[in-house]
Amino acid sequence: MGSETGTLEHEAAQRANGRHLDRSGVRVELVECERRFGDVAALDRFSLTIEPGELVALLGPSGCGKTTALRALAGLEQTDAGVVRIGGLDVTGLPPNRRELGMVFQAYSLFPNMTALDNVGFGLRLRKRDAPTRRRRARELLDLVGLAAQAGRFPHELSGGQQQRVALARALAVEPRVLLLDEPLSALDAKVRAQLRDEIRRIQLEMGITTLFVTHDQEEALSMADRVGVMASGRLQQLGPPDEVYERPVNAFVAEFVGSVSRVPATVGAGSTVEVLGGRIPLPDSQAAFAPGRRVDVLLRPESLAVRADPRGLGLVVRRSFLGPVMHVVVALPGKIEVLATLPSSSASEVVVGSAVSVEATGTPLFVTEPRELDA
Amino acid sequence: MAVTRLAGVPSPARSRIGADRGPAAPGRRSRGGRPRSRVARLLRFAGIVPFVAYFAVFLVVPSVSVVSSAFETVGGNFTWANITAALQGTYLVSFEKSLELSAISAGLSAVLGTVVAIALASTANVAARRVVTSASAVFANTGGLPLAFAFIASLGNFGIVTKVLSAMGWNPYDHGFSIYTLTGLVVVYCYFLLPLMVLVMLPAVDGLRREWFEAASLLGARRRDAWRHVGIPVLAPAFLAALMVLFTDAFAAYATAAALTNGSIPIVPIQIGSLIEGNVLAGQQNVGDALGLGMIVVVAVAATLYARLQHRAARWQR
Ligand SMILES: Nc1ncnc2c1ncn2[C@@H]1O[C@H](COP(=O)(O)OP(=O)(O)OP(=O)(O)O)[C@@H](O)[C@H]1O
Ligand SMILES: [Mg+2]
Repeated sequence: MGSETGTLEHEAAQRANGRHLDRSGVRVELVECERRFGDVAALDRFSLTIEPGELVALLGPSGCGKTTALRALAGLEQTDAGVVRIGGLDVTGLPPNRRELGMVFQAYSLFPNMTALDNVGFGLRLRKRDAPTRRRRARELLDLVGLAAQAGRFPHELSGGQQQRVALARALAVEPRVLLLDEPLSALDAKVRAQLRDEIRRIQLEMGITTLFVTHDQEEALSMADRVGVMASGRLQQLGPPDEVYERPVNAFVAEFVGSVSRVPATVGAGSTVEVLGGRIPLPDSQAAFAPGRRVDVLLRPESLAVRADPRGLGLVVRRSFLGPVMHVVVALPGKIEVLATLPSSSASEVVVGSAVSVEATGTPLFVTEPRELDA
Repeated sequence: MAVTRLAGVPSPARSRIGADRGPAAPGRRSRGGRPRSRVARLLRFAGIVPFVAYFAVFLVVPSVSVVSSAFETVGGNFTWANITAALQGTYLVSFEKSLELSAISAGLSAVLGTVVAIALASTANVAARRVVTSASAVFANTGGLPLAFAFIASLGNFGIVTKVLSAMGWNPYDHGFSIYTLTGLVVVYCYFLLPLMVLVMLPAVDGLRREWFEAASLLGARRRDAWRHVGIPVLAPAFLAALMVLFTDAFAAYATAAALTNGSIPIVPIQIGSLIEGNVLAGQQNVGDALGLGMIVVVAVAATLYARLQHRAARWQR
């Protein structure tokens, strides 16, 4: 899956960006972890390495095992097989309270009987720090998450977003070696979510703390992670920098899960080309080996489809949505095919719902795969 | 012995400790809209009229009459004599016994009942939970003569359990135990108080979220630290409220003790009972009212104490 090269490329990219990759974090490794619940394999030979100071977002559909992976790392879930290493040390048998990890849960998890300040200071209290030290540190962290003014409030007096900030401060107060976040933003509204997302990233970079962030929101994953891990049925499908996962998916699942694609039947042509929608485009470099004449499906990004108003075209516009400078149109084609295309909003007057259009594939398909049986 | 929903008992609809991840907690109940007219406003209060009437007839009127009679001679003149009598000799002893009995049986049931509720809340065995809750509902409402006879038949001098135990070479009556003593009464009272505690505490224990324990653990807490700093403080308000219910329940119970001990243990309700039945010296008819007043005072003191503790324990809920 090219995780090694992925990391190196990524580091180079970071340096090029002028962003400093902090090395104070530790490396985290999950090796061939297994976890079954009855018939369900929540983790199926799941392996993941997170480099020191790196933020990896684990992305995948509901029920694919993201939470289980994170909980296995935290020690909250036992694994049937496999090894968990933190900073090179095997922690597989270690209980959560001895793993020195910080975690923010999806559901609000602040202790209801303590103020925000006491929640943040709780870990230090367990470590027998004296009260003034505790309070000073807790205040610093509340300040970091922008909640200094709410220090004396109880959790039920805080909004959802504020509670998650306090939870983040609480997790960071004990200077954990690794930060674990399980969809911490999913209960929040879009605006607070985007804001808190940026804040988490800022703090994470500042502290250089190794972080695993679980989400099923791909925008969240792509926008904040150093690397994105795409998971399906208990297995890691691909791990790489966001652009790599988006532009060079290793399989059809990743291609279809990350970003939008249209699946269109096609035939492989001579000279590493593929005939699709009456035109001919090159095969992707990594998939040039398909034998000519083979029937395949190609996965096309919206921007690789050109839609033009054409009274004799075979396509029919069924939906249209404006996104500012561009618009998305869904076009129905013969053979129960629907494709999604992006075009400039300037063509809005010609391409309307119900109008006939022609559709053409341009550029290179994202991925070429076995044809899917049309059994519906 | 109705199971009342207590203030300070968190919503049961939260995820349970040990249970699978449940749905998120629902929002708070929203209030209905504001009534528009005066009539509507009055109508809103119409619903509580029967309750107020009931409250007046069966609580306020008797209480006032008890208090005033406590300070009256049979002829209706003011006197301290009833109060003085109630604070001496057997009557004073009866207050001590009553307090001892209620405090021990309520305290014991409260602690054990909470432990049972915690076990029930964390079990994955739904059937066991249902059986225990239903059984608790039955036992919590058993009292009076049937309960006394059940205990006499099982743990009495010649009860079945006693016989079985003696056959095994350990007769409890040879080791200072007797169902007809205060200890015996404590055992019998626990029989209905403990299940009552289980029922009252279960919603509160269900309200403990697994994430609190997991978060505490990740912050370095051992299981007992998490209970000490989070679990117990969170349960405290509900526990105190339930303890108060148990205490007053035990303090006021009459029939069970009367049937079991035949009056040999002079707890206050039994004393009042015998005064009502007329086994009194001349001029002491109103001592019963003085004892009643004493009971009101004890409950009031307990309630004050409770309110104090509750104020501290539930600070974080306001
Ligand atoms: N305690 C459990 N008992 C039984 N099955 C479980 C348990 N926990 C998880 N599973 C199952 O394991 C699989 C993976 O669950 P997991 O919670 O890790 O998914 P997820 O990727 O986090 O999903 P989501 O995005 O919905 O949170 C699911 O099929 C789930 O039903
Ligand atoms: Mg999950």
